[in-house]
Amino acid sequence: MDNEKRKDGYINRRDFLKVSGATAGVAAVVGASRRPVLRTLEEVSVQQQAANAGEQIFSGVCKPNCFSACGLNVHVRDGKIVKTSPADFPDKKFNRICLRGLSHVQRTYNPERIKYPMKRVGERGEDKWERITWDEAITLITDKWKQIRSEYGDYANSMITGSGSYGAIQNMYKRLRNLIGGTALSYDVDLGSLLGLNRVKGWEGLWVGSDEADIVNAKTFIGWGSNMTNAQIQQWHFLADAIEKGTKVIAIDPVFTILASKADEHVSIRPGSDPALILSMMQVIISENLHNVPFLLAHTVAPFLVREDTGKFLRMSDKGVEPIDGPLDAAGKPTKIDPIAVWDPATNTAVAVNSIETPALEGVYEVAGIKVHTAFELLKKEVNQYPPEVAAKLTEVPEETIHHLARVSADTPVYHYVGFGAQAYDNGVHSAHAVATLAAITGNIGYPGAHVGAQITFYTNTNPKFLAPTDSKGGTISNLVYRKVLKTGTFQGNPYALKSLLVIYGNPANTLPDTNEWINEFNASFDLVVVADMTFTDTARYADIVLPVCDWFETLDVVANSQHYHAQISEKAIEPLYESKSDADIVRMLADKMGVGEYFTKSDEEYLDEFLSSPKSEEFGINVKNLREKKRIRYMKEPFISCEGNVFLTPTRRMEFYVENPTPLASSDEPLDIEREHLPRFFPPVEAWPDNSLYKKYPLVLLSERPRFRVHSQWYDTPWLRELEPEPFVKINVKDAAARGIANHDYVEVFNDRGRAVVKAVLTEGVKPGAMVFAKGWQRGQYKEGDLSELATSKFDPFGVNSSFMDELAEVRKWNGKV
Amino acid sequence: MANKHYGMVIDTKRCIGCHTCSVACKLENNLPDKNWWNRTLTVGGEDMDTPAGVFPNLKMGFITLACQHCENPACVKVCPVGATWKDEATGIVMQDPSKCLGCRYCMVACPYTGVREFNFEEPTYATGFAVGSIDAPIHEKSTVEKCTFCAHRVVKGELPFCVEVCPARARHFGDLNDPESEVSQLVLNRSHFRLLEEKGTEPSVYFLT
Amino acid sequence: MTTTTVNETPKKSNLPVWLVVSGLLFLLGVFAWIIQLRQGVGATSLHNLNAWGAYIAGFIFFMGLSAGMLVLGSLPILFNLPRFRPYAKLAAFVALASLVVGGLFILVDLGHPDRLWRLVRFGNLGSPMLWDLLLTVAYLIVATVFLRRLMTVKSDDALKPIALLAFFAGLADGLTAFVFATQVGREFWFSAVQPIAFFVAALASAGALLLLLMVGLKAAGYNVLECCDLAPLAGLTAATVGLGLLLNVSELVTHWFSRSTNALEIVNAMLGSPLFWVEVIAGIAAILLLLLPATRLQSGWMAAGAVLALIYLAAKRLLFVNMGFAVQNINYAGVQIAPVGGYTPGLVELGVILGLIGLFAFLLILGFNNLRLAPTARS
Repeated sequence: MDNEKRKDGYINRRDFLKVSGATAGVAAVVGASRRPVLRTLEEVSVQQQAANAGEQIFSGVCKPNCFSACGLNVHVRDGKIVKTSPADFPDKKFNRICLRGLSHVQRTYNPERIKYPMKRVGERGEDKWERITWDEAITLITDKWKQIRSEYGDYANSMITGSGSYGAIQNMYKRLRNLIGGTALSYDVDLGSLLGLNRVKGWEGLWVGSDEADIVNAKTFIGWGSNMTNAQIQQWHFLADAIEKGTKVIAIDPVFTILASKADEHVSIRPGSDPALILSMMQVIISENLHNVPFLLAHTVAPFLVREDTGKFLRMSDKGVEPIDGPLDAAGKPTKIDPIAVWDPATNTAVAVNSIETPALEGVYEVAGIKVHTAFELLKKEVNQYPPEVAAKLTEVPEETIHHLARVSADTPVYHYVGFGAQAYDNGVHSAHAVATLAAITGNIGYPGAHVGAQITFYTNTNPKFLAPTDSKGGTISNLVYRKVLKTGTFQGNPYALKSLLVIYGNPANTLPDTNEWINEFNASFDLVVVADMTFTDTARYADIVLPVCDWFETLDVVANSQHYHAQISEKAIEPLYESKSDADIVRMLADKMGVGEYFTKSDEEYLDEFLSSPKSEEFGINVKNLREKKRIRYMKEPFISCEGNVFLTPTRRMEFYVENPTPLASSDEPLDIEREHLPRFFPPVEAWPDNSLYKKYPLVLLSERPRFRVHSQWYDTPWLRELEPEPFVKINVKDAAARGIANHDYVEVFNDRGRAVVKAVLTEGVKPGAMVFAKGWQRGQYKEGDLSELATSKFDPFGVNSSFMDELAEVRKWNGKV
Repeated sequence: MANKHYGMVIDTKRCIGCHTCSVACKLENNLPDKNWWNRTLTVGGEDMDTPAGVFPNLKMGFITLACQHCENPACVKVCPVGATWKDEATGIVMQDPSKCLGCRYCMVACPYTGVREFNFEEPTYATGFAVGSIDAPIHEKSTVEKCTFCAHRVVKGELPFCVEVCPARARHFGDLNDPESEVSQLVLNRSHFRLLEEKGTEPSVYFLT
Repeated sequence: MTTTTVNETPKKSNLPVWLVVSGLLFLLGVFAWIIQLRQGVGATSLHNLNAWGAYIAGFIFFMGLSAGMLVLGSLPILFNLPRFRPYAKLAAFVALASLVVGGLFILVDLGHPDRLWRLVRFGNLGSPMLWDLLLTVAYLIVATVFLRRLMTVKSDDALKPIALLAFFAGLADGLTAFVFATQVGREFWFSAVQPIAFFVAALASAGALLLLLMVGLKAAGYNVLECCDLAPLAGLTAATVGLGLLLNVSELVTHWFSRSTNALEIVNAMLGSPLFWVEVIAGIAAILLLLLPATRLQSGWMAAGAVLALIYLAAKRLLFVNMGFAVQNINYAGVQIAPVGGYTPGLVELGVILGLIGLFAFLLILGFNNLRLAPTARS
């Protein structure tokens, strides 16, 4: 089928039958036939007309952290939500819904919803509760907060925000936190790819990528550790279109994912070795002269001279050329221009960048007594350590495959789709840094089909004043760093006592690594843990007070974060059930008692508008009033090509595969190895590697995947989805299982020094020998025993400050307990 | 007016086995707990989402399995009371619970494993009230039920819900009697198979390969 | 043939006890059925992938029994077979009782027995199930008339027309087989051999039950037939059991020979089913007991042989039904719509089945007590 028809197919799908006149046809025959043709339907449709008149449709948004932000029609009958269906986007190719979006009725009307404010009466985690009033709950919380504030300081009250909602209204909490000066515990996941990509491409946004519809322009699509068909279902159809148009697909993954099953090639790589593979591919590309020299010279830091002594770029001032005065900066202050130096082969001198057409790409030189290399020379030196014969041993990818992958990558345009698999190791920043570098040396970026990136967009055209109306801000500590802060009571050398925690939109005791450590630390340290949620998650069970929060369709919100670059309105479709309250109202109550009520006197709608107000929002007309009318408004030009026209928002405005000043994403007390971070490098994962001392005891790498049956832990107790996937399981390679006497569907104990869990074993050839994989997000009570999230390490790379979910070793044995 | 022959075309190259169509069916038709009219099946290993073959030579695919709305339906022939019948105007095989004796002969006759489901007990619903379309089929204890191609939607000129929601855009629905229809064109131009063709039931569901 | 003494006024001392026992069993069945009606067919072990089970097996068994009895009852009249003639009345009565019970097996299998009237109002003549139900009605009429004539008409010649009808009715047991043999979706059933196999099994069941009744009734003092008169019946039973086993072998060989995946699965499922082995062992043991010189025609051994033959047949019927579901035509991993493992009748089903067997015994005893069914000697 050609592309035109395909497109029409999308546009006309819903009207298809109307166009073909089916209604008339059926109706005619219903009347004429002797047989009871669709008779029941005829009868029912009479009732239905009456009832349908009472059916209302609201605009909703499914807003979990799957990036899809599906626009929903929320159907309400007799004051109850009875159905969710895909809403129309201005361009129907974005119409979307999945099995989770279709089971909202079971989330809204989940009997397990928290119905009233509750106070813990047993021990923490014992799950014994007493119903209290909202007034009591708010008083208990704010009295404690005030006491902690006066005793330890503002920062001692902390707040952690999970990824449970992509809505804008949650920023009310941030406003409150800034007003009362508390500490934010950041939820640091998947930041490896963020830092790795953005340090090279520039800060275009968070995980920003080209439109999915652009995949069709690529000769090859390479999925790097991506479980797209499950974790980002809505992107698949764009890839499927591309496949139909001839785009080849390569999946690089230790697991035979569904994407791998659809791919032309599946490259089964050793977990945590992706940087080695990519460096090796670059070695082949450079040695076979397949790299894009003009692009490297014009748009990357390749020709820049790097001082051997400092690792910094050589500036013209280093050879005595005085900087000249530049224009005033945004703040009106004078600037100096001190150009970076490149080597002019014609004159054999270092000259200012952009002053000549073709600077030297390679070479080692001396300038004013300083030894310098071109950045490309350094990269070459780095990649030359990984010729395919070396990399093959590290990655378990055959040499010929590495050669082949290199040639395919050089045959641009290639759509490098960076999933979150390869970056979930201690070396994760470098997997993304390396793949962005691969794009840089092949000039594979900024034009149709040429792409390197992930794909989420957080709407950043917002009003910072809304978050900090008094300009004062609280502190921020990574959830990974905070464990040490709790243990030591210090942060960066200063005393830092964290005494209370408010958990919103998240389930950290389940979704963050090393959950035992997490729970133990907060149990020991916090005088007050408050969880606002819809159900009794693993985290809520450890709270002192739980607050019942409204379901998504019981309150107004605007959702602008998404993969499809639309702002959408999520209308209030029904009244809140039980005593649940909206987040905005909870904030208002807390703020009142904390003495900052004056900042929360306006309506939700007004605050949403205030948060969204920015020149960009104005340009696109993004405000509640417009959204009420149009429901979904696109805020990105179409098609959107990441780094289009080779615009890179790096300090040098070039692709910086050589990072002059490596900067961590968050502060920690960990020592920083600056030298390592200049270039993409391979170093083994902190744990999941054969050289590791734990490997003898725990020879299997435990991977986790983000399944279609949940989004992190959301939907964990949705009945329809539990019918599809009733219980946790771990997939084990058939050979690994056989070596341990494990039969299919046996219950097994998976364990390491941090924790254990008892789950069903599913034997498969689809997991690389030496690895196991489980689907994330099951709650403690759903396991036979334990919880697989106990096993993940909280060790982190201080640059990415990233949860290394896959960087964990484990062993598995048959469980002999009672099933 | 000429009779229609509604058929479904499922593109196995696009299908990612995401179960969205299966859940959509549950919602739209207000299916009781544990009842699935349209199941997503892994063509591969012993378990869901596992491949066939030996590492690294692996294969995995998906089909979705619901009533095939056969032109020569085995179920219609055996029903002793005409509770299941083929609608001549649309080719849709219907099932009327209010007439069903609960003898389950149609389930025995249908070669397509598990596409008909019997309400062995009083249907229960996790939400506690009827969801989905207001004109969703009724569900009665002790009767057989199955996919109707969302006939209640089709009569209103809408697509079956599973087709409308498919994230992979892998499902197509239309009139196989109309040579110009999308489904006819797909069947004409793409290689395809039907399930258990050797049984001679002439199913109206095509799988593109 | 020697003249036998006939006890025209049977002792009734034992029978009331059995009447009460069988009556109680029947009540148990009614109780189980009520549970099933309230809870739904889910009270049984049936499920979506094994939609039919022990009830349908019971239906086949009793329909076969009835057909076999009609054949055994009519044959001696039609073809002047004096050695079989004594059982004619008894056979006709048992045929009638089995019909009632066989019909009830269908009733208890229905999810909506209250909608049975729809069969009359909306009956689909194309459905083999309807053929079978019509057949049941026809049997009922034929068997009733046949019995009535046997009780009242002295001359066998006068009985011939109705006997002919009864004989054909018996042969028509093949129709029951069509319920199964017409199903393209069930590879095991979909075979032209099934009508013959059903007929063979029908004769075997009738022969075995008659044997058992004769021995049992004699013990109860009901009649005083000499043993030797049972020889042809024993021979017939052994022969039909043997033939049935041969048909099993034939099924296995033909399926195995095709080597198709489904067929091999069927072979494996058959060999893997305990019912198959019960069938084979009980069948062979029955033949041996009925034919071996050491045991043949001795009341105790003969009764044991007959019981084994009946066990063979019960296992055969249950296996037959199960094998229809043993192979799933489309067997891929997905959401579970049925319990893991095969089908074994549950408590409620066993209760209902026992109840119906109780009813059968009750009807038989009632008949023995109140009708003159005993084989009569003829010179």
